[in-house]
Amino acid sequence: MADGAAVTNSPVSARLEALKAAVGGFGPGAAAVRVRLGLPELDQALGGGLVQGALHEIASVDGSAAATGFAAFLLGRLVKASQRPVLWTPGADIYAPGLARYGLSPNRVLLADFRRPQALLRALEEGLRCPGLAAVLGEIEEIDLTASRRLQLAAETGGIACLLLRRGPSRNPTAAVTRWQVWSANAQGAKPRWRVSLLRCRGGRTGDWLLEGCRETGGIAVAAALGDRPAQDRVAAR
Amino acid sequence: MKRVVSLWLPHWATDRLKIASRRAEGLAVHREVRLGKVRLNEPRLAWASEEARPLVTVAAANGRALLAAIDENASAAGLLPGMVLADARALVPDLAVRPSHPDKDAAALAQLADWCARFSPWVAVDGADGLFLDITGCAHLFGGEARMIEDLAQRLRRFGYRVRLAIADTPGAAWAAARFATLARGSDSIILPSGGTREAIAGLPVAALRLSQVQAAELERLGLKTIAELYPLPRAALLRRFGLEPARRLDQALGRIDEPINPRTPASPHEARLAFAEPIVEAASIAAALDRMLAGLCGHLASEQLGVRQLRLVLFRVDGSLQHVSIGTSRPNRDPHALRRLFAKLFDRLDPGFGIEAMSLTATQAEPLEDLQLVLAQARAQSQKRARAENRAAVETPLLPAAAESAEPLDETAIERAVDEAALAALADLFANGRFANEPAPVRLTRPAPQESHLPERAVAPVPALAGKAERWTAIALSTVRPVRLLPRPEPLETDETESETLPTSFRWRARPHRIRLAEGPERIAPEWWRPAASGASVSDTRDYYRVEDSEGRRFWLYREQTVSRWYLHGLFA
Repeated sequence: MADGAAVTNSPVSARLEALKAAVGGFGPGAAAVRVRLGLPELDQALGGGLVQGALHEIASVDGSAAATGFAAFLLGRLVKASQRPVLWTPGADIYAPGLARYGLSPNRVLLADFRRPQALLRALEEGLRCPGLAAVLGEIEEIDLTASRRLQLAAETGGIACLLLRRGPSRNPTAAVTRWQVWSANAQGAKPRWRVSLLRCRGGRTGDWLLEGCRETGGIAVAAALGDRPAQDRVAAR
Repeated sequence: MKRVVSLWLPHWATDRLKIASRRAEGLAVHREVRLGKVRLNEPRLAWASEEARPLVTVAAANGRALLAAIDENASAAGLLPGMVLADARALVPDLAVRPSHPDKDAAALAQLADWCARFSPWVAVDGADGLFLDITGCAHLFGGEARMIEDLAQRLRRFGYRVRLAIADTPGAAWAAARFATLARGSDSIILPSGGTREAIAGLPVAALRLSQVQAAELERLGLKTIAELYPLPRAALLRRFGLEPARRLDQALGRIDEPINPRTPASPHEARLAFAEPIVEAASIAAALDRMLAGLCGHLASEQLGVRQLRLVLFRVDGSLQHVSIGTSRPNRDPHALRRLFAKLFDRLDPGFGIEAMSLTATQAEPLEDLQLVLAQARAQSQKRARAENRAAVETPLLPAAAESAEPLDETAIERAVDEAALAALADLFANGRFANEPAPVRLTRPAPQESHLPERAVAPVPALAGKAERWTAIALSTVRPVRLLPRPEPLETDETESETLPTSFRWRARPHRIRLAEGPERIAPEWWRPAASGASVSDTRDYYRVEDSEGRRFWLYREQTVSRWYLHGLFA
């Protein structure tokens, strides 16, 4: 009889869990999976880490490739969390061997060369429905609110992160959960530096940091929270 | 017992011309009506009289124009193929003459053969004006042989072709009956009873044995007019007197030696067909029919432990033309939902015309599908229904009985990896099949793989994402400092001095000035002398690479060509 009780009990609790997960799925609630970036200052601002099933927007400000490096860093953390590859599209001039320095192994990168914006958006959406991926990244010039909402919804349902990498700050409002801007900054010694600012973060707070690369470990560390603190070399665990 | 249809189109070439001109005329009338030039009920006298004129096609031979094909009216007026055109004109003054195009006739006949595949997958072209259909085991699908052959004849008549058909046990007997048998009044077809071939063709002339004119004439000269008169002859005498051909043809007609029918497209054993009582037009109906066929085909494949690599969908339109699309998968697959999604992208390319009366779905390439994937296909179907949070549990559930039986339980991570790979394969198939969201060309899902080269632009090459054997990146290969973006081709820089040996203090790139603050280098990369130089001469020169940072912190990868001392920008660092 005890066996019977156990059998009848478990589906109920399973259903309850499923319901909880379903309710939590609307917006970055408690059930949302967060991926730690390994940079305490940034994780704190994000409210515990980057939400996995969400849309994130990264804009380059000065036309440099700094935003590409930062996107690679975020993708690297997402890959590490789920051990699945990422889809980078179109990624026509991405140089795979260079990504490893930012924590993204080229073995985990898939490319699909979609040139037309409409096709690119469709491809991203299909990628978000594919359970074999950790994240998708689209290099896109402009996106409207509706299209970004579609991506956000698909990311939420699939539990897969969607990153948009743009060459300039966006003019339209988008449904992105976090919005980043990245600048190049002058290197300190042999360590390249970037200025990263989190302009918008649902369920977190904004911030402005100076990051620097670590030549020895290939990791990234926070050099300073801009304006107030002295440089601290806190290297992110790889 | 084998059953074969012989289809003869006695006026094939001329019927084809008439149908084409009628279609063109119809289009012209349609256009004129639309433009308001004519009213629809205005009689088209020219067309009607054109229909009644005897029509012949003409081919040049030995400097003379000979009749190649003649239509019904010309035949009734006493003309024969092979006549000299001048003689024919003398007999029939208002003869309509067209040039003969045997190649176009053959192409159209091949198309008609493809259309006939809706009745049987085994269709072969027979000569210039006939077809063979092997309908063994097919007839019951169309309500029996009589209904099937009447259906076929009626459809062809409706297209505008004169036809004669016969069903018999052998191609030879069917051929003979279609061309020489006396048909019942008002009928275009005859069915020779199964097993009664010998009696049924006995009364036909010897020419019905597919003999050349010379041989038939020779037999007739000796008084052997009908096939029945050949039966009592000793075989040795027949061979000695007339050679191999008449005896062989007789054996073929009677089924003593086998005569296989070679279908135009190789028939696949994995096929699903659907015929509709009423032609369908709407995309939704086509999709529903496709779902039914996919379910049937996948069930059949499952019983044989096979998966599809290539699928071909053929739509048979009421006007006798075909529409077809094909999809390919990167690995064997028999998941109806996944296959359905691949077809969905191609639907807007299909034109149902005036309606589709039948569809066929053929697995043109099938491969064994491994057991692990078989289990995973079920697991995936279940996991789709459940929340992703329960994904792991869903994978395990269908495995439980199998795991209990087998000695060693399946490795869970291996299963997860296989599930991921299957999902990626589905994504790659989706991108690669047809035009994805109007992208002009199919897009491949690739992986940047390392290559045996130290030239930056040759060190990486895209390989298919799921090619398991491709090289992987090693820590050593990744230890050199490389940019995150590499320009498709190096861009020449404007520097202070166009040809400077030393690193310039500033440069212009894409119309923007950059002042160099920091520089590191050089890293010397020699050309690959064992390779012929590419069209761009730059490959053939040694390069000195520098990593530089401008005053605002942007980082670039520059190089100088050693011999000409020109500066280029090749990549961007983050």
